[in-house]
Amino acid sequence: MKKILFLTITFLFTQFPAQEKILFWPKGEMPNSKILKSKTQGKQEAKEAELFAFLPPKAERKKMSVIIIPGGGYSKLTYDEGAFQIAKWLNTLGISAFVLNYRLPTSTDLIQKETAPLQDIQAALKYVRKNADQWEISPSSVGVIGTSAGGHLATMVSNISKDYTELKGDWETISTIPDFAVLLCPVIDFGEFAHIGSRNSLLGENVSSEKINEYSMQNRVTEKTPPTALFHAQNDTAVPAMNSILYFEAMTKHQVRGALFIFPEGGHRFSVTNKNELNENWKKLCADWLKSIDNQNKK
Amino acid sequence: MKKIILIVMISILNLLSAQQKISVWEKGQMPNSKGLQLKIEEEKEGRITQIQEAELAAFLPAKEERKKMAVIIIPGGGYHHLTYDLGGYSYAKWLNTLGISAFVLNYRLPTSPDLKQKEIGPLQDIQAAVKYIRKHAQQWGISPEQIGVLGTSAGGHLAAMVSNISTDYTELKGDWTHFSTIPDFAVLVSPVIDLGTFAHKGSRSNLLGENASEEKIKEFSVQNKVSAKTPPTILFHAQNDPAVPVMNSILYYQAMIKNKVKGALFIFPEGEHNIGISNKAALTDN
Repeated sequence: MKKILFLTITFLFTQFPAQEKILFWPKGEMPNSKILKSKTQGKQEAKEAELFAFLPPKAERKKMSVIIIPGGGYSKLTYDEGAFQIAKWLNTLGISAFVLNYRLPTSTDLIQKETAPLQDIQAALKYVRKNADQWEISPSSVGVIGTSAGGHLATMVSNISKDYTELKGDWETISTIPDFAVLLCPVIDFGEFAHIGSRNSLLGENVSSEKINEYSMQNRVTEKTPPTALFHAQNDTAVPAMNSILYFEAMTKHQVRGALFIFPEGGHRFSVTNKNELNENWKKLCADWLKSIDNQNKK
Repeated sequence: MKKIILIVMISILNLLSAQQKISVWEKGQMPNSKGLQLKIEEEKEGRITQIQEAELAAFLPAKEERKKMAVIIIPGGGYHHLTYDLGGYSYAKWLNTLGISAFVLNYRLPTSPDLKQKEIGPLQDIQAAVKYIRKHAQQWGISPEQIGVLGTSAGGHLAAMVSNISTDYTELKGDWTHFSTIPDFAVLVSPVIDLGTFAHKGSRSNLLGENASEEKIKEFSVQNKVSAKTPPTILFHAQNDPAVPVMNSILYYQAMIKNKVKGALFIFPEGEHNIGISNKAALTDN
């Protein structure tokens, strides 16, 4: 009897976790994997990209949702502080959140390393839009939030219109471009103001100036870039504030609507709890900005 | 008897008014004047187009709530008029709610026929105002080392000028020479900064004339004046400002970063050229 009770409790817990883990690539269709391609599965399992779903209670749930892209210089994922915390905070605003653990370009399983993170975020966007109904969210109000190198990936998916997912059938008609983006101390430039660690992990040590230009995301902004809000600290020594400024300049030039907030202090960190009173405002500014985007969608 | 009561009442009202008017220049010391007698001209309510001499309107919080910090507010108006209410008194009242003393400066406009050299008239007035507040700080219980400036639009240009120009144009002598003209911090709201590519044309032609030389334009484009000595500065702008492009604030902030001047930059998507104390867009109201 006790055992049954125990099983029931365990079962309840697995049914109602705070977050649900989703393997969003259809089985065997994740591209760019040596293991999956060689079909020597069984011996070795390919590590797949994952989404962690954080959903607000139905009564408080808005139509808007966000995919959170953690940072970590393209060599690790700072998913707990950087991403899970932001997801919980978004839930308090009624916004559904999905934390993306993408394949890192440093993985030995990859065939072409610099496209893997992009393939994963593109497929994640398609997946959330495809299944929007089931969560009662809107497929046309799906944004991205990226921190640090995750901000770089957020601007890649915002601006690269080519679909790298290789997904077929009804997947093909679903757009990979997010409806809006929030960038927290993002890596943007791979030239003068580059975070060298991110660049080396994504493109390798001896990279051509063409490749640098191509992956410096301020150069990819067009009038089609979705509305974007940027947050940075002036004293960020890892990723200089010029990264955000260059992107916002390109946005203004192409008449992309958005906001830029640079705080004097804070270092390379924007999180849900801040030591600095002034920086605490980022949450209010971000929440109000998301609200203004939401209102526009309703118009 | 009735007349006496009336006079007493008027003087009491003067004493207790929310703001007190102060002449920035001591009698006969205002430089750069031809000595013309000018009338104060208000083209419409809240918009002065001509003044005789520079004047400060003092707004002081209650003594119990008063901090050491004070701000001189520099209204905008394209160097053609002074929006002293919306771009001045309104900010002053709000600062008072934070315990910060505020002084709204009505400066001589470069369009005044009384000026001998028009482009330095406004700068002389703000420099003298900074000195005046520092000199009299004690009487208000404020600190002479916590005097900032807040400038909107063309007033932001003047705030950036006084932040960066170390030459003292006031011609004041004696103990006046002890006081620095450089503010301790600056707040710039939709400021005019660049007088070149991203210029607000009206401000430029009123300050420098219609056919300003390349050199003059460069000299008065204040992003070029930023140095390691520029005081800490915070900038606010709306991305959709149709009068003064947002690039004005971005260029100044970039120069600050380059020279390691501490500060902040807040750009809102909406608000146009009207970021004020009460805003239509909830986001901008922050």
